[in-house]
Amino acid sequence: MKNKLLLLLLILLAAICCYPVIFLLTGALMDSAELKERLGPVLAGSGGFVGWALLPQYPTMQNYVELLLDTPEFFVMFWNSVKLTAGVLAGQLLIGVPAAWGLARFEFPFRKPLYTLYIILMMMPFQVRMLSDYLVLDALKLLDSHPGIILPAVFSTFPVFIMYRFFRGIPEAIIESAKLDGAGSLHVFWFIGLPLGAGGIVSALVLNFLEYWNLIEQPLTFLKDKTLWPLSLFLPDVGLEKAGIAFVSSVVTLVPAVFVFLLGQDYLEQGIAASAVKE
Amino acid sequence: MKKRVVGAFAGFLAAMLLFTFLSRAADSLSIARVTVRKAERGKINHTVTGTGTVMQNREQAVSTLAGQTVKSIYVEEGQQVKKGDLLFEVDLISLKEQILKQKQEMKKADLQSQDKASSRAAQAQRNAISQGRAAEDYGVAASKGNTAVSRAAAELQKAKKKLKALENSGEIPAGNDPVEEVLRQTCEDKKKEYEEAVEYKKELEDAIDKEVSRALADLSKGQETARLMAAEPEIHFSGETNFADIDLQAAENAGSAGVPDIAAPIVSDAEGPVTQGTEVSVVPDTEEMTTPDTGQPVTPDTDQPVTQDTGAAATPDTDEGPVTPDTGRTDTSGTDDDSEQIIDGEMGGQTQDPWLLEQRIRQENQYLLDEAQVQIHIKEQEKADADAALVSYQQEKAAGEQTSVEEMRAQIKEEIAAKQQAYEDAVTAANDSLRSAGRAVEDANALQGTDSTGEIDAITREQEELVLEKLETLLEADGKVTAPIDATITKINLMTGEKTPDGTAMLLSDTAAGNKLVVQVDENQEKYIAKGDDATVKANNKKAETLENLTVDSVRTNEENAEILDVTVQLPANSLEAGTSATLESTRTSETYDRCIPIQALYEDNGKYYVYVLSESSTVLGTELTVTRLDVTVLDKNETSAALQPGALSSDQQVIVSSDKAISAGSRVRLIEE
Repeated sequence: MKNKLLLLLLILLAAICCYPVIFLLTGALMDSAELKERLGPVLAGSGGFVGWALLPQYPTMQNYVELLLDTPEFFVMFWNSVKLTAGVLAGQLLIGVPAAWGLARFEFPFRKPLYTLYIILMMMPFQVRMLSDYLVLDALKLLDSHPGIILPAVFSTFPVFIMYRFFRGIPEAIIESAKLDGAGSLHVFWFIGLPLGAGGIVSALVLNFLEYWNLIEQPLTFLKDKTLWPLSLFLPDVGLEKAGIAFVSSVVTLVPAVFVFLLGQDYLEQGIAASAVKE
Repeated sequence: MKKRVVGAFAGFLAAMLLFTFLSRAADSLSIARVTVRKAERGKINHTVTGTGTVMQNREQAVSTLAGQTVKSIYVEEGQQVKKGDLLFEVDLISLKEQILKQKQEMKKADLQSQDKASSRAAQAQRNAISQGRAAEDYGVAASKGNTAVSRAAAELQKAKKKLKALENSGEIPAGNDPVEEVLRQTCEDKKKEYEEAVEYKKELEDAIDKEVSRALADLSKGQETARLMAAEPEIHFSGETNFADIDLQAAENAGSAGVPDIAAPIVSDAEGPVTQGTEVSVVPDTEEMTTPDTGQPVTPDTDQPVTQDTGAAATPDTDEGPVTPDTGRTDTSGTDDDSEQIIDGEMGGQTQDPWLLEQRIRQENQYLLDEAQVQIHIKEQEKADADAALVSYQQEKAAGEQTSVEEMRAQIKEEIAAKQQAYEDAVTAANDSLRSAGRAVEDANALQGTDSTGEIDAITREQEELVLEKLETLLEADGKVTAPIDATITKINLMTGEKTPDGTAMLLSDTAAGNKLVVQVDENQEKYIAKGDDATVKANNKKAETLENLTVDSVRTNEENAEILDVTVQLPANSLEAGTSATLESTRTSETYDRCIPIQALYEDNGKYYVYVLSESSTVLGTELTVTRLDVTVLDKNETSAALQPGALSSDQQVIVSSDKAISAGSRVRLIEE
């Protein structure tokens, strides 16, 4: 009985959480007249209250067709987002994983203060680093280009922090035994560290995918050339006229995130849990 | 599970890739492809073209008298003729008939004109007679008035004398009756007056006889002309009779001299009838009047002869001016004879039969005789009355009826009052009759309306003479009409056997004057063509001759259609023949403009001109070309180009000249190189 009540509460909470997605999917199938009627009070100031239905009254694929066939800009931005996210994630794999391994498994002077610095930097919001980032990127001539977005993200501290937890969790005995069997540091990292820390790596990648897929501040600040803009800047001006397009583009944007989530679902939980455990 | 998710993800990405290409392809289909051109320096040339017909410069009309029968025509339209060549001929028989008819008409008109002149003369004569008669009537009225007034005044005077005598006598002496004395005296006076009247009539008759004999003598001497001038009969008489002089001539002249003279000819001095007696005068200085009781004869002693046509006013220059009803003009007889009569003939103009002349004089003066006769009767009656009064008194006296002096005085006073009244009545009556006579004179002298019949007849005659002259000239030329100049016949308005029209018979164009081309162009071309512009003329015939370097001679608005201009170009001698169709072309080169664009790049919207220029904009898809509308001011344009005012459009801006799709401001376009 108690469990049932709890379940009901959870279902209710889940429904609240899922509601925006349902809202999105329903809106994408509405035609412009219906959208105008329902969203008019908010977007056009026509008075009354916004109403919504779980199913569209006059379902149409018109918005999908328009977005997919008549809006080449969307695809430019979609592929820009793919490129940025892929670049960032690849860079993090290349840089972040060894960094986390090093911090977790090697003893060297100032290891602790360095790690603390990592934590502090991780805590800093983007707004704090924005000016310094800009000056550095400007000096490196990386402004208004994709590397200008990718490089700072590659050296992000958050994935290092996540993976550090996983690498630290590998028992010392396994590494000892590998060394005894004659494995060098690289062998240990490659054949012991990576497989055993794969959960952390994947969860870090999933979390970062979601973060960089939705990147807004950095491209807005560092990219002047609109051709380089990611998908998150596609709808700078959501008006009633473009409401249908906005819903559809949101749905399409959502799709890769869902795929990534499904792929990394197991590791994601471990990763989130790992980041919550204090040392 | 994981594999399927990965597969689906890969499928999703592949689908996105596919849609990327599809959307790009769709976009490239919808985008307009345009060609552009930059504004350039250039000129806007305006070419005015028009087609017209070559025609001669000068035309001359040949005409003849209207209504002639055309016998034969010797030329055709378009034929060249030399000066003197026979053009056409009219029928001589009909021409001669017309001449005869014209002459007869003129003769008829002459006769009518003469008749009219004669009747006008007769009318003038009648008018003169009626004027004369009115003047005569006036004289008679004046004379009668004077006579009556004089008589009334005398009566009054006598009554007053009687009263005076009575007062002087004081007491009535016994045996000497003053009343009887007075009555006796009255009887004697009346008798004397009666005798005077008889005498006067006799004198009058003598004077008439004398005048008749004198007139006859004059007639025989052939002095009619002089007599003719003396237009009116005059009778002046004066003397003890106290009759005022009457000047007929003056009265007549008064008619022409003015009405006011007649309106106040007789004035009575009511204040002093006792001392002054009567005054019958309109002479301004009344002091110079004679009074009836002075016993002095009213004698005009002017020396002026009987001048009747002098027209000058003869004013009496003596203290004893004549008593005349006239003011200004006093023509008196030159004698102071106690009785004078002057009678002469008045009708002028024609020699008269002596017997008729005498009759007329006598008739005209008959009224004087009649009047004298009337006077005689009156005097006779008065004498009888006075006698009767004396007898009556004596009878009364004999009857022993004593009348006191007081009663007698009262009686005499009553008599004076009655006489006074009679006198005033006489004056009023005389004034009335004189005024009506004066009006009659005025009426007779009233202006007659103008009569221009004679002059009009003369003008008509001149016109007819002119026509006759022309007809005769044509007859002299045997009815043949020849070319006056070397020319081409352009129009013939004649038909053999028909009558010639009332206007141009033939139209000739002067060969010597050269040819011109007149073309019609639209009115809105006016600003692009003007006198002096260069022009090229091309003949629209097989030879297609082209004449260059010609000059526009004139540009005028067409007389029939104000929306068309007639452009004339003088052609060189012997270039194109009259009647040839030709095209004129005149190009006017404008100044150099900095911004010239092809006309198809210019758009108009509600009278505002604009162009579309390319502008680059960076979008998500990269640098794209979009269309921007630019409002411009057109300085000049022709069929191919337009000149814009610099400022709005810079020289490096790319103006869209053509597009394969409809474009508007904001459209994305693709540039294609020409």
